[in-house]
Amino acid sequence: MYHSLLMFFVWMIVGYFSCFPCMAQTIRYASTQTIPFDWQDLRHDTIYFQDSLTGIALYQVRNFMDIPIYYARDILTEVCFDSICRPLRGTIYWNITGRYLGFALPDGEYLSRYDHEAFEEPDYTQLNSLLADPYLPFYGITFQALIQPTEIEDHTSVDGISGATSTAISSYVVHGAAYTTYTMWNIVYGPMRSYIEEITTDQLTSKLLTKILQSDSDADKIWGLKKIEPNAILDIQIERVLLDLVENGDFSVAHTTLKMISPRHLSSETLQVGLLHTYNTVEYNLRKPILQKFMEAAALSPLVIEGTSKLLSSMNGVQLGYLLALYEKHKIYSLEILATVAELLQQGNRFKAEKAHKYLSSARIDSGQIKEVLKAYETSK
Amino acid sequence: MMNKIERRRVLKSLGAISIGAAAGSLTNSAELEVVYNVDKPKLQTDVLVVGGGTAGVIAAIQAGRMGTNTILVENGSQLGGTTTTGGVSFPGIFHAWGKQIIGGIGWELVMECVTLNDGKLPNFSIIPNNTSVRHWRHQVAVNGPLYALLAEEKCMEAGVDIRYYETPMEVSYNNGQWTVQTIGKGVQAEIKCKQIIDCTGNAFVTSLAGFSVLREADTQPGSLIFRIGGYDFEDLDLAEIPKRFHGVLRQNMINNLKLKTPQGPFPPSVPYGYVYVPGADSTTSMTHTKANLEGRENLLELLRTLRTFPGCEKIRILDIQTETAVRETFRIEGEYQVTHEDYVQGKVFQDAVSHSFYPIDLHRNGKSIYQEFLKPGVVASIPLRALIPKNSKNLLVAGRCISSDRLANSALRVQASCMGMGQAAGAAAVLAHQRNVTPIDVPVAEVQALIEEYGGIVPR
Repeated sequence: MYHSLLMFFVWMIVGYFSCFPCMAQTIRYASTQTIPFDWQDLRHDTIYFQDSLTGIALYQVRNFMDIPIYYARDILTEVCFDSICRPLRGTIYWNITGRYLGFALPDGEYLSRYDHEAFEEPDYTQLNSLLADPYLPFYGITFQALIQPTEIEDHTSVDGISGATSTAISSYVVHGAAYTTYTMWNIVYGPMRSYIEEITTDQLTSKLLTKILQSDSDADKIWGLKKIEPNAILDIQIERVLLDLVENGDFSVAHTTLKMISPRHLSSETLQVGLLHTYNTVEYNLRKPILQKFMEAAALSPLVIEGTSKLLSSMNGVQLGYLLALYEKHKIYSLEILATVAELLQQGNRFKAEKAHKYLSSARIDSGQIKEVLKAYETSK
Repeated sequence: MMNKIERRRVLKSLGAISIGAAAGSLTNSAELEVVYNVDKPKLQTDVLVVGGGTAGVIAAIQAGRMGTNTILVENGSQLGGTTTTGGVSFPGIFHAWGKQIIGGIGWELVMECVTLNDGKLPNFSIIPNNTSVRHWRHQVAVNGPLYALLAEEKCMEAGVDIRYYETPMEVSYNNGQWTVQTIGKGVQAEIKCKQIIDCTGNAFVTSLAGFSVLREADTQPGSLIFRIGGYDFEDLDLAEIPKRFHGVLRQNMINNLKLKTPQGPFPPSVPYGYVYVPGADSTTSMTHTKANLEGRENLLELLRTLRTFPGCEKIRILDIQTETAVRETFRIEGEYQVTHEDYVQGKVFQDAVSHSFYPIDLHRNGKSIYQEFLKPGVVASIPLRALIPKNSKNLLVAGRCISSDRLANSALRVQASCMGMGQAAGAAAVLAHQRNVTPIDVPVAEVQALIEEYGGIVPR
């Protein structure tokens, strides 16, 4: 859950970035690990970007299995708006999907307010939280524009759509350090972030993608889902993870997962059968998207036909309509299904009966008994 | 005395002769007709839903899908109410704290509308924090006219008999049956039914039936919604424009502005502007006419003023809703009144039939809004008793006029909540009809189970 990202803690010296060599760091703030990697024997020897003037580089840190774990980049920037303050040296960390992970300052370095008062621990914690929020209103706007009162005040809210910033800029910055917050946030969410995403995308393997889809972060999961190739044959591990996301993800994750499953993917019978299984376990609002997903399959698995036919009698009229439309699309007209559907004509629910009638009308019916039921229904209308 | 048919025949022949004599063959087909002949149908149904707005559509579809004979009376020309005619085409809120809290027929309609319009859903995984991510980010932008089409299609598919341009004028209850006299264009219908669901938003049927309704001395303003074009907000020198106009200029261009994020997880917001209409009331033709006239007058004044500002000289109207949308008029006095405290504490009633999630949101004096956000994890619930006018029989209410105090009402009046109530009222009315009892006597567990069977989400 994204919410958990906002729950940060101080992570001092040891562990998380312990192999990072740039500087001896004493102040570190980081979010919790979300992608289940093996963190043994990390190495950081990959430099993707070297600024020729400043020597600032982007490092990709990999584990002993050569799997990318996180990225780090040193920063060197002015942190006071009036340029009176000293430059800031530090390091910013991203996970492999480009999500902010944390920041660190070298030995002797510290952050301060405009009046040079050094940050206290709560200030660092707040800064860390703010940097983890990709939705601060800092994107694509200059600092000068940001601090204009008319730009940050709420524009008289109305139901639904209202101003983004009814609270003033103070809600989004560490007190007395607006420019520092703004500057660091823009480094985190600037071009480097897109660059990181591109690098990881280029290095994606089925195994790495599986790991990303298993992240505790919904943002990571959705990032990974959007990397699934519609024309690829999914390996069994990814299929399992996808089914798990449909079954156990929140609505947006489950819905995105279903959207990313392509007709090509549905050529896998295990995936089709797995989806049928999830139909029986997911919340109501995902059942229709699952049935609609089957519409995209070139052919329905016999197991899916058999499994869904058992649901016919217990479905409400809306679900029945979707399932019968699916049968119509795939020309599923077994005698057993026709007979079950014909029974629905006599159940007394006009809405369901109309769905059944529409389906039966699309079939070539040889059974005299079913023909009689159909005729009786049509006569009674 | 000449009867009506004979008289008509004579008039027709006279018309044919006189027009034929005066003009050429092209006009010979014209005939004089009796132009106003009031039809007086007598109709019988199981469930009558009055008001085809946000709640009424859902109530009618729910009842119809259960195979119940259902009539839907709507005094306008299309379904959807606030979402369509009112122009508030971004219903919500369906999700809270990472979970879906309102589903069922309302959600089905919204999803189909999004899909058929190639729209985009918000990322509901991102939890609003009321600072960088405001609650309204979870509202779902829909194409209003398309929503009206789909609502109508679903009603028809469910066998609902839609009667546009009609409004009740008299309601009486005798021997377990309601008789509702309606009037419309050339129609004066008598509808007999077992159950009524009042979805007028103004407790109009409840009032006609003689049950108590409440009204604040000072109600929230309505809004006339419009879109303007002919200017570029980014190029405006805001220092040259009085601050009170910045909002409307920005809101109208909202999808082009700084609400974009590096990840873009939210769909563009709906650009629109609005003018407040103090005291707007849609209860009667007269009050609604007044609200519309005032709204349009305010808008014209705004337009003329905006065009005096630098960069705004070419501002023009692109679109105006045909009606002023209304926030608050009457509320019923129900078997239970949902209180502010119930709402903000997220009380889960034993007879809860729907969730509701929105900040307390009271528009005051047309100038400020009192907002109170629900604490993390809190989701309010709506008890069935709040949908039942006190001491009534066979009468339910759904929508913004349910029994609630003013502050609770300012939150539960929003569209997703009304959809949830509509589905609950539809289910309760059908069960009451099937058991030949009044809704308060239907075992609430059965109502809850039925709501869930049809995809609604019951607070537990």
